[in-house]
Amino acid sequence: MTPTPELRFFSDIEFPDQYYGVLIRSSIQRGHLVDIKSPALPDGYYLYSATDIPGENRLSAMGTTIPVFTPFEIQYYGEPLGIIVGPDLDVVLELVSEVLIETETLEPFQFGEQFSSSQVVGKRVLLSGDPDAAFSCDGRVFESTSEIGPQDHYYAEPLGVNVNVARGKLEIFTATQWPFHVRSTVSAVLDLDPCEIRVVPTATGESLDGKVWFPSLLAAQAALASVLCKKPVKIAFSRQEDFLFSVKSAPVQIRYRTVVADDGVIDAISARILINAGAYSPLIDEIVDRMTLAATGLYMARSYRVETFALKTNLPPMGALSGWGEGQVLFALETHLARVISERGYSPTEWKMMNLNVAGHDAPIDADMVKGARFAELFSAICAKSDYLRKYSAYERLNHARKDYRDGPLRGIGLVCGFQGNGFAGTRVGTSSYSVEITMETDGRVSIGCGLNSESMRQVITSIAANSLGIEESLISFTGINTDTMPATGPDTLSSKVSILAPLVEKCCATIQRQRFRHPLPITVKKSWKPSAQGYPFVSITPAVVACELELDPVTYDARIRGIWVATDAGKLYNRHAALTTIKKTIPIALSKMIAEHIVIKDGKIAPKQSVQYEILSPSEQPESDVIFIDSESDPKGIGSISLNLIPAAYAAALGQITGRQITKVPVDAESLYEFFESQEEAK
Amino acid sequence: MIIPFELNGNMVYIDSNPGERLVHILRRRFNLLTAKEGCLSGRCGSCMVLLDGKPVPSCIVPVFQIRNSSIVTLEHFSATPEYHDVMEGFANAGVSMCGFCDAGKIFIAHAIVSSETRMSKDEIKAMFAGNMCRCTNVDDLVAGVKNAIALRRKRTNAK
Amino acid sequence: MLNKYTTVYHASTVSEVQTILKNIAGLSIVAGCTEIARRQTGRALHLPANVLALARVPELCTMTKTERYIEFGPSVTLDEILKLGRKNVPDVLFDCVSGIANPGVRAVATIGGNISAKGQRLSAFAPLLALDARLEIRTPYDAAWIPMARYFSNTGKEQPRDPEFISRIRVPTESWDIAIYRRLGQEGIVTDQTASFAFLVKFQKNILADIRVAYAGRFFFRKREFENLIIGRTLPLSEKDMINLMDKAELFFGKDLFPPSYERKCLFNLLEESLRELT
Repeated sequence: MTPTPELRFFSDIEFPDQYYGVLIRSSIQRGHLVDIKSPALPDGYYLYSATDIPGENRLSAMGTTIPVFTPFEIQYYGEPLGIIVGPDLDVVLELVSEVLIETETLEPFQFGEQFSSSQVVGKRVLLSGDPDAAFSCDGRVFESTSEIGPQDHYYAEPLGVNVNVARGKLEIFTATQWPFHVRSTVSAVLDLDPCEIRVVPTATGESLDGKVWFPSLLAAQAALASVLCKKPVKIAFSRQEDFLFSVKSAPVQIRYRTVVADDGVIDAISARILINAGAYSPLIDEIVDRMTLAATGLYMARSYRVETFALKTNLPPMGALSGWGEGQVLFALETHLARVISERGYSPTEWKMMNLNVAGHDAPIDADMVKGARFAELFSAICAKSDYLRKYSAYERLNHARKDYRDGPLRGIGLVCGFQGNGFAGTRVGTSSYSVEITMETDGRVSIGCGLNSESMRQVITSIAANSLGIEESLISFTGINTDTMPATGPDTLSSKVSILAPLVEKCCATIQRQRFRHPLPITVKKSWKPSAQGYPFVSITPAVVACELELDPVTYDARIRGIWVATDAGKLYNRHAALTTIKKTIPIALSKMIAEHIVIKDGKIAPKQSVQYEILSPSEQPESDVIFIDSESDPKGIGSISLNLIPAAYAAALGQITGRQITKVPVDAESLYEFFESQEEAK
Repeated sequence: MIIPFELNGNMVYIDSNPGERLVHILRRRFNLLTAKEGCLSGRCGSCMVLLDGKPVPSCIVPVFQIRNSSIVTLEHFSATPEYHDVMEGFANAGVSMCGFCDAGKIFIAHAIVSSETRMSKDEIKAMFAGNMCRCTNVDDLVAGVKNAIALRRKRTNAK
Repeated sequence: MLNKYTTVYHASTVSEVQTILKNIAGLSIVAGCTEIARRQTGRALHLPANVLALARVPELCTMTKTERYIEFGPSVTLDEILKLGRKNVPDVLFDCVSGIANPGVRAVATIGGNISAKGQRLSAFAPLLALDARLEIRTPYDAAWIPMARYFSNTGKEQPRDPEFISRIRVPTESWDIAIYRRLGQEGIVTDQTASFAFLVKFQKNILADIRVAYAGRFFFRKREFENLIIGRTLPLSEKDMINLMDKAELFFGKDLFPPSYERKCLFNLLEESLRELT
């Protein structure tokens, strides 16, 4: 079966004699599985667990292994222990609710400053100079600790998979960002040759990196059941099940200490980053790498130390959310520096320009990546559009002169600078190469095979090819709809691939252009890219500056956004509308993360803080925003994470200007601002 | 419980538990897949249908409520000129649509286009409060609706 | 899981509703069912064992307007109220309804369901309370008009002797010189922090002729005694009047029922901000 426009989503696909699978889950946070007592199963209903797995009972991703069905050690509440399948979903659900699970409970791992070495699943330390010497010397040490809670990806279609046997192969339909990982996982679990498995990726929509490896786990569970019961098996999470048990963004605690010399230069900066990796976190090495490198932003410091620890706890799997943790670190860094700037009375733009590492000093981020970044133009564009400098000064005076919070409008404007890291070049990824194959046919039509791509990426690639070859976009189509026909690639992670793919497409088209009038058609050209040996996690950065202006309602403590401005150097823009859409559509997503998406964790269970279901901000609440792309002829760069990386920090910086204190928790809500103002009143 | 209702212009009868969500009835019993199972709380718009002519999230409608009502899904609506007004309006504005919540966007746009009230940009945006679409920029949606209004006017004037 | 034994009773007239109520015990009355759906995340909706569906009773879906009142059947949907237009609906009610949920949910949710929600008062409660809405309450045997403030209770009203239902909601349409509606909590959804506030003022020459202050969240408040303190005062109010009134408000909105919290602070902020309109 081939997905069609009508059957683009796995949840729409139904096979004759379809069976439905529901997972049996643990009822404790940590412990041992003693027994699974099944209810009497009617004919045609089956229960499978770890003992039924013919191959390896594990999913492997980037050095981490996760059991498909845990055989003994339970690591989080809701961990899959088995599956019941049958022809009627309602009956299957009822049977699952009747399963009795016998367990022995163990004390769960906690997350915090005190942790044992056995909890550490990822670690990286960078050191340059002697920051301790700077901290012990005179001078004010600024210190702050930020906490960013877990958040959900909230993609449109909840997770799921449908597995069938067709045309002599095991066919797996699932929305995945990494179809080849699905194939290799199922191959290992079922002890099948990969060529006996065909993965047909269905539409992911905006996955926010929530469908990188988790679909592989579901695919293995469904494929096992399908092979054993000899029926097509579908697992489809409801929204609530997806929320409770799928990957969340890893909660983080980040402590910064900074000393700024009298000349305004950062003398020393130290960051201690603790990542709650949950029970499993396959992407943790990449996350640790990227967070560590992002810890000092694009700034230079005379000395620095960054220590990042990823800690295992007994929570559901934790991972990336639209980026690899740079956003959380940049939030903590920029809000910390905003406080430093405010207390020292610096001009934010001047101070930032002075401390950006454009001179190529030793810093976690490769200095060559920063050197080319046109921050002067970015700052200038933002300041012009938003009137930042005048507003910042005016609001500083207003807020400092205020007698109480009802005295005058409560306004602030925050400005932050940062980046998005492009490409996915983790050292642990086995197949992180990317390739593009373009064929020009005799009738002038062009087909492009470049792995899995989002709609906006396809628009960009189409524009590049049309432009390079001088043909209409309607003559261009994409090939490679499953793992039999598409080139093996690493994960499709949002837009960060554009830095890799765009040059490959350009090169292929340039070769075709050279050959097409001298050689007969069809002509096929293939170009590939592999990560460089040193394994730096990204191949380039997209620099950006963001400003956010807020007004706080003194009655309800709600913040109203007066404006958002984003300036970035995105490289050559082949499709300006697609680029604008990418930034603008991610603005409400970023704001939602900052103010609306609250998860609380109690006894290892996650739940929405204030309502029955996890709620996000409606995109209709997108505020007025200005996006500025500075003209550039450099290779296209990814921009899909810019908003998420920097808008929360800019929002928090604006709030910080209003309240006079650093906002250190994400999400931030009206109630926490009320508590702050109350404490100020009481202190008087 | 036997529940009669009109579905895409045809009278149908189903025997169902009264609490079953309408979206599941449409998908499982009638293979009408444009109503998707998204949030199950009426917030995302993926399951939207026209219930007695009004766009309604079918996930929050227990099936007993539709007795003797008229339901129209996107499959049926897509054959109408009104649908084409909206789709052409969206296309001209560059609205991105991955497909999952198309029903919500299209039916709400149709409701706005068909409304006799002239709406401001903010009012149009507010009409999409129940569409949790993360694929598109809401400014494009507003532009798409305005295009659709112009197309509808042109088409009805041409008659 | 589906309640396999749910029985749904349909009626086509009000008298049929009364007959069913008389003959069947333990009925749960539903209209749009959005409040049931809001609280459930399962694949199917779990309904009470016996349900009386009122959404399609024509007499309960009507709206009538006289010179002094507008009347809604309890099964009138929220979007039908909006379609009447701002000039036909009191401002605080119109503002409130246009902020409830989203257009799709408003096409199903009813005004009767909104004010009847248990546990947490929903958005239309405070405006209708402030407007002195009256409810026609029908039992199997009779009907009576009851002020909304008397019909609902913060502490849980006594179990009525006979089953009953709201058959009409009558809302006075007198005009107000100041009409403020504010909603707390995230837009479009119901959270623990959701609450609504309505403030109405009428003045004649420089005298404050009438004032209504209503708040509804986890509790609802409308204190006539507090309002009476303000009625008759000369406008504009002085700063001393303001301080005096806010001090009195502390007594009326007691800390025992409404302890210090974000919600309480917002109520007092809203009250102060609204009273400042009179200074």
